[in-house]
Amino acid sequence: MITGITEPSQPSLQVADVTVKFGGLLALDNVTVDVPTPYLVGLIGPNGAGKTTLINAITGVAKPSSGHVVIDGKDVTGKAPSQIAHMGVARTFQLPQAFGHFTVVETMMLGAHMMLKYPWFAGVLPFGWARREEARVLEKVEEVIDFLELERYRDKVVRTLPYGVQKLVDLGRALVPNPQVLLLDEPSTGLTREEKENMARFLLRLRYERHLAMLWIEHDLELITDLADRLVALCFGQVIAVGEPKEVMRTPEVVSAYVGAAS
Amino acid sequence: MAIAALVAAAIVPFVFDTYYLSLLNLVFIACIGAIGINITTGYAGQVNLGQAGFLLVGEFVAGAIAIHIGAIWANFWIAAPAAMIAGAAVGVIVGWPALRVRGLYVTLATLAAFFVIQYLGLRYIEYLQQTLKTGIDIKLSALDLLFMTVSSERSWYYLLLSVTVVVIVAATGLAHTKAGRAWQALREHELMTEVMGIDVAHYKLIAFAVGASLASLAGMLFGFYHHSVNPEAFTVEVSVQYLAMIIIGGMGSIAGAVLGAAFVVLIPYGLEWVLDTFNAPSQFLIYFSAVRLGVFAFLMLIFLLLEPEGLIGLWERIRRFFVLWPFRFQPLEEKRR
Repeated sequence: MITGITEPSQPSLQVADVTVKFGGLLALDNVTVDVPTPYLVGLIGPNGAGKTTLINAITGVAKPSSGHVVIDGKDVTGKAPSQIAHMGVARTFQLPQAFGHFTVVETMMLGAHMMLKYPWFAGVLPFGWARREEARVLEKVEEVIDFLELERYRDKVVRTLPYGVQKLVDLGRALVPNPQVLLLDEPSTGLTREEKENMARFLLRLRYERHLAMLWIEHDLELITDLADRLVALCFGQVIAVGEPKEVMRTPEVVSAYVGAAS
Repeated sequence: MAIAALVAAAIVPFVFDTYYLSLLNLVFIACIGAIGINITTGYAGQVNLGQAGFLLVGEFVAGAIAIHIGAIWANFWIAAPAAMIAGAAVGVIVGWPALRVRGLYVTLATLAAFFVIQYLGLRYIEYLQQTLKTGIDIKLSALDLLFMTVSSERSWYYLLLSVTVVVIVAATGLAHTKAGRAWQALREHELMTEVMGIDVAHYKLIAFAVGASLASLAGMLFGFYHHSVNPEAFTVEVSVQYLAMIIIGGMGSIAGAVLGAAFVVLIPYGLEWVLDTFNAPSQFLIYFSAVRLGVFAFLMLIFLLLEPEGLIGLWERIRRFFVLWPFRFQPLEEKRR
């Protein structure tokens, strides 16, 4: 159980006793995680611990067999992924190359899909409703491009860009529709030290300037211990430690999960 | 540039004779159908082997309007929306299985749908021949516009040119707005697309509906152009040809679909011309259809192996060569705008 958050009143994202089974495999076993609004919550754990499954359960991709996912006070358990996205939940992907054939601007416009209110067929006309909406949303997209300092890559095709930039573009894509809850699936994996620091800088700005609730899966323990407000450690689908990052890192269960001490 | 192209297109009928005009008319009809399948397959990634069935739907709409309702209603302004609505409806029904299954199974479903439509079509023709005594050939009246009847090759040229231009503009518009982006995204990764708040099922059905309605429009025009309803003209081979158009032209590109349609339609005539010019011995002409299919298959292989982005990819490469000349790559300075 998770206790001990005092600062924010209502957690934006509550995962309460969620269990996810894949056949006979218990991927998540009664996992409870709270992500309050301006908090950066780190999610750590060895491979196969269920970190990505937890994000999938929150976004509706994996259906929990029991438990609840509550976003902003509303129970979204069992809803379709696209509906949950409309509730203000965005996520980045471990491998951002899937939409690599788009340019940076196009990728972000794709992320802005939910903000475009015109019916799809209005797009056939080269003027009018659809074009006005696109222009309006493009302004927001430009803001995100400015924020992430991606101007020089604006019209480049994403798959031709360095991996670190691709990760930033993916983050931008998730940011465009103004989410309240941001789920980051290993945003710094595969980046150089310099790129990692750059990414961390943006994530901290998001926490302090945009007051997002963020759940951040990270394998770089040093990085996440420095930056996160709280840490949640998962192992074999169970929460083994929660709380202050430095304390969590000292917990015997976490140490043994990572170092593999004889139990 | 676009205006210059349109002016050039407008004076074409005064320069070329009817034989070339009829070829261009066939290219235009193929363009409309190819842009349609390019949306279903090229953009949304649902490989469709039933395009001939959707074309057939349009031809039946043409037949139904001209035969049952009366020739007076054989008006473009009625037939075009009717064909497009019927095509879209059939497209949604055929696309329905794609919500449950993926990849090859979708393709099989479209192929199965084609055989169902063809079967229904043949029964309908039988019914017409027996009850209405229309004879073996079912003749259609000429297509009417509000102010004129489209009968000469030249008037068909202008009508088909206009329809094709409208379809190109509309399809380009769709491709560059939210539907086009959603289609390309779901082609690459359905789950990721869904997580971005895009209703994948909805956009898959739209892709089928739009693709089929354009095919149906092409089929309607084809029927009136040939003055007949003839389901035997639409075989599986036609479906494969449409798929070939976008593979050769370049998947996921409107310009590619246009180039591919022109290429696939004109190749047999081009071969004929080559054989004629070089006075090929007569046995070549006897084996001509076999040669044609062989060349066709060979070209498709070449494109799949050497230029997967199709003619449009080839064109891009040639363009880049001249724009960048004498360099091979973009100079670094320009990159840092």
